[in-house]
Amino acid sequence: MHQNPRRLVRLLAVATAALAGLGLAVGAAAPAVAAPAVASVTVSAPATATAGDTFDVTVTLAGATDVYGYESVLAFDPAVVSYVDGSAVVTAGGFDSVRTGSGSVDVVYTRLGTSPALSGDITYTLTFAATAEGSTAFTVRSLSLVDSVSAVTASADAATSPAVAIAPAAVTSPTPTPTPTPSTGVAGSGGTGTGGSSTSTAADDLASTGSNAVPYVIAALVLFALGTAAVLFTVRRRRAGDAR
Amino acid sequence: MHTRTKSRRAATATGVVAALAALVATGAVVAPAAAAAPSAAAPTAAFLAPYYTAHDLTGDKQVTTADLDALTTHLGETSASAGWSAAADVDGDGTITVKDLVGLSQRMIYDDGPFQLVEASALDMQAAMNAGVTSSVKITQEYLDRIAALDRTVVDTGTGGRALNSIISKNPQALTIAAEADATRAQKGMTSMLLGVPIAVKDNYDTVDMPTTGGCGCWDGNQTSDDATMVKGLRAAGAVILAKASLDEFAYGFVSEFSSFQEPGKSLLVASPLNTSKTAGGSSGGTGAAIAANLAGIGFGTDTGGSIRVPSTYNSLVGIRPTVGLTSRDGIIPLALSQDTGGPIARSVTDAAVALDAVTGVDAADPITAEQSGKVPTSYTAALDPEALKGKRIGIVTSMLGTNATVTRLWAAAKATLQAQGATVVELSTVPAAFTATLNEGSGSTNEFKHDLDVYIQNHLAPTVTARSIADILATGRNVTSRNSIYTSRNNVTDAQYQAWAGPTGTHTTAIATGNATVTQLMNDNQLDSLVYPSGSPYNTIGTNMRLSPNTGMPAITVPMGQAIASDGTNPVVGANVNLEFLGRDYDESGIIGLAYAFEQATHARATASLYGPLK
Repeated sequence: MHQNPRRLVRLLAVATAALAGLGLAVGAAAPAVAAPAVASVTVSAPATATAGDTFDVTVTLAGATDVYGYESVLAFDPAVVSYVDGSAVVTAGGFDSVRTGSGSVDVVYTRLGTSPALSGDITYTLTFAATAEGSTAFTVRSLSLVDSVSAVTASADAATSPAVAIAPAAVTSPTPTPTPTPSTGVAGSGGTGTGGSSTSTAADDLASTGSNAVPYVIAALVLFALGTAAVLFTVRRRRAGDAR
Repeated sequence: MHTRTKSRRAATATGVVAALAALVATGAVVAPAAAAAPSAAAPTAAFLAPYYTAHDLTGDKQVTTADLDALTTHLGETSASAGWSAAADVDGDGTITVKDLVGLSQRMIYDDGPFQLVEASALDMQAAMNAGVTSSVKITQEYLDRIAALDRTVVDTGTGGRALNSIISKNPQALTIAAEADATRAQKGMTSMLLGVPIAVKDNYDTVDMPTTGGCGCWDGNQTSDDATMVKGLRAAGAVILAKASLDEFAYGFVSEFSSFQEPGKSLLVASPLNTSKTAGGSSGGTGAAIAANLAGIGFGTDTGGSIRVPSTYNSLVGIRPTVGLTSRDGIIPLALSQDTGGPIARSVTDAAVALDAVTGVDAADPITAEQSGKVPTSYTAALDPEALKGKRIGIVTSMLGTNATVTRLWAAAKATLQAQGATVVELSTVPAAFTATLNEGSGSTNEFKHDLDVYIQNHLAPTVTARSIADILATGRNVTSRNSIYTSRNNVTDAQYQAWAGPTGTHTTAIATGNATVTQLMNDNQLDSLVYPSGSPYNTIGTNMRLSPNTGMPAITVPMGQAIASDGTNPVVGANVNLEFLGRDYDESGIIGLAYAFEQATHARATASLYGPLK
C-alpha cells in the first residue's frame, strides 16, 4: 500500500480553500515549486514591557508555498524573559510540539496524513513573561520547512525582532502598566491572533524586522542540524486543537 | 487432486447461523475529528500495511498522533545517540528531524482538505471523516440524494439514453446506522476501514432492514428476520448498508432484468453508467451500475458464472470472485451452490481488498467455509504492493483472447505493461484437453436452482411470502414473465437429476474437482503465479472465459484494462471498457490482489462515468 494518490490529484488543483479563520490557503501545493518556501520571515514583539507582565511574540512566515511542516527555533535572553508554558498558538489542523530550552523555544509543526500543505501566511505566537529589567531580541535562530514530498528548505537566523526593553516593575503602582502592543490590527487582538493575510500587514507595523525575500525560494538548503542542542531541551508538547 | 468439492454444498438445513469469525481489521487508526479525543483503543490487526503501519513507534501497528508525540522525543538525535530509535528515522538519514516528523505524519489516515464524494475511495472517506471534514451521516445522505436524483432518471439525453435502475431498495435505517458509526468514531476513533462507509449489496443478500427480493416482484415482501452472514460481517465492521442493488432476476443472466416492485408483467433493465444505451451486465448489474455512478461507496455481488466479473468489466470496476469457501453463502438467495460465491465490486483494488476483509470467516451454516482455516491473511490490504508483478510469471491461454479488435489491442498493451513491471508473460497456445473441458463445462444454474432455492425458502424466506416454490412464483405472474419457460424447465429438474449433477459423485461435482486439479497443475507446470484473460469484450463476453473460475472454484479478480477507441475494428463501441482478469490458486486472493493492484497502479485504466458527476 502506498501513499494515497489523492495528493497527486490535489497537486494539479487550484488553491481555492482557505483554512477557516486563519486565511491560510490550503490545497495548492504548486507542482512547479521544487521546495517549500516563504517570501519573508518576521518576528513581532512589543518595543517595551514591564517586569512581571506578559507579552506576545509572533513569528510570521509570509508568502509560504507548499509548507507541510516546519521547525522553528526562537532564541532570546533567558535572563530577562521566560516562555509561558502552554501558551503557543500555532496553525490549527495539524500536530505541533513545543520544546523549551534555556533561551530558546523550539516549535515543530506538521500537517496530518494527506491533508494539503499550507500556503499564504503562517504564524505562530508565543507568550513570554518579562522577568527582569533588561533587553532582549527574539531571533528565529533556525528554520526548516518541509513540503508535501519531504523536500526541505533550511536556514539560520532568518529574522530578528528589535530589542524589547524590559522596565523594572513599578512597585508603587496599584495597577500594572499595560503591556505595549503597538499592533494596528484588530482592536483587542494584542497582536497575538493567528490572523490571515489581512492581518499580516498589522504584523509589519509591529516593531519588527525581517529578512525580506530570504533565500528560501532559491533552493533546498542543507537540512539544519538540530543535533546536540536537543538534549538540553525539556520537552513539553501540546497539540493544536484540531488534532485532538 | 483437490478434494474439497464434496463439501462444497451448503448445508443450510438447520438454519443455524454461526457467528462470523470476524477477521475485520479493527485497529483504531487515530485520526481524530476536530472535537474527538485521540483514540486509545487497542488495535487487533495491521492496518493497510505496510504504508500506513510502517514506522509505528507505539507498537499498535498504526500511526497516530501518539506516534508523532513519541517521535518528537527523539528530535535531534543521531544514530550515535543513546536510545536511538531507528523506527523514528523515517527518511533513514541517521538523524531525527522535522522531516521525519512529516514523513511519519503522512502515514496517518487523515485529510482536512476539500472532500468530494464522487470517486471517493474508502480511504478518502476515512481520511475526511477522521479530520472532521465530513461524517458518515453526511456521506450517507449524499449517496441517498444521488440515488434519488439519478437512479431512476434519464440523465443521458443522447440517443438510447436510459435510466440506470440500479437500486431496488434504500435502507430507511441508513442515516441512523451512519450516526452510530459517527458516534463510534468520536468515541473510539476509526475502528475499521469500513466504519461509516455506505455499501450497496445485491438484492439477493438478506438484510433485516430491507426486503430481499432476488429481483423478483414475487418476493417483494421477503423481509427476512436475519442478515446474510456476509452482511453481518459488513455491519460488524461498521459499514452502513445503504441500499439493495438490482440484479438479473434470481441472478440468472447477464442483462439484469428484474421485476421487483413492478406491476405484474412489467420489468426493468439496468443500464451502464458509462453508456446508458448499453446494459450494465449481470447478474450483479445493479451493483455495478451503482458503484460506477457513485451511488454507494462499495458494492457486493454474487457470482455463479460471471455475475461479479461481467458487471465489473462492463462498468469499468474491480470485482473479486473469491474462492468458493472464503465467503459464506448463508442468507444469500442461491442460484447454484456448486459455484455461488459472494464478493466485492469496487472502484479500486484497494476498496475491494478492504471490503473483502470484512466478509471472510468460517460459518457453520455454510460448511465449505471451514476450508479457509489457516488460509486467510490478517488483511488482504497487506498485498497492495505496486511492485507485486516484479518477478512473477503470468500465464495466458491464447485461445481465451478471442478476436475482438479492442481486446487484441488492449491485451497487447497490457502484456507490455506486465513485462514492464517485471513480470514474465507465458503464452500458452496449447492446453490439456481437461482444461478445455473445464471451460466447456456447463453452469449449475439449471440443475441446481430448484434444489438450492428450496433450501433458502425453508431457512430464510419470510413466512409471510406466499410464493414458496418455482411453481408458486410462476403463479404470481410477478416475475420476468418472458422467462417463464426457463423457470418451468428448472422446475422440472428431478432430485435424481440434481444428484446426478451435483451430488457427491455427480458429473458437475467431478468436473469442478477435475477442473481445479487441471488448472492448478497447469499453473504448477508453468510455474505461474496467475492465469490472466480478458473478462469480456466491449459489452460482451468472450467464449466461456467466465466459466474458468466457477468451474474450478479458484479465485479471480478483474480490473480495468482499457476502453475501445474509434480505430478498433469495425463499429467499435467507443469508450466501452474491457477488464483483465487474474485467476489464482485456491485461497490465494492475496496473490492476485497484489498482481491486480500493481497492474492498476501501472495503468490507471479505469473509466469514470462522466454522466454521473457531482450533483448540482
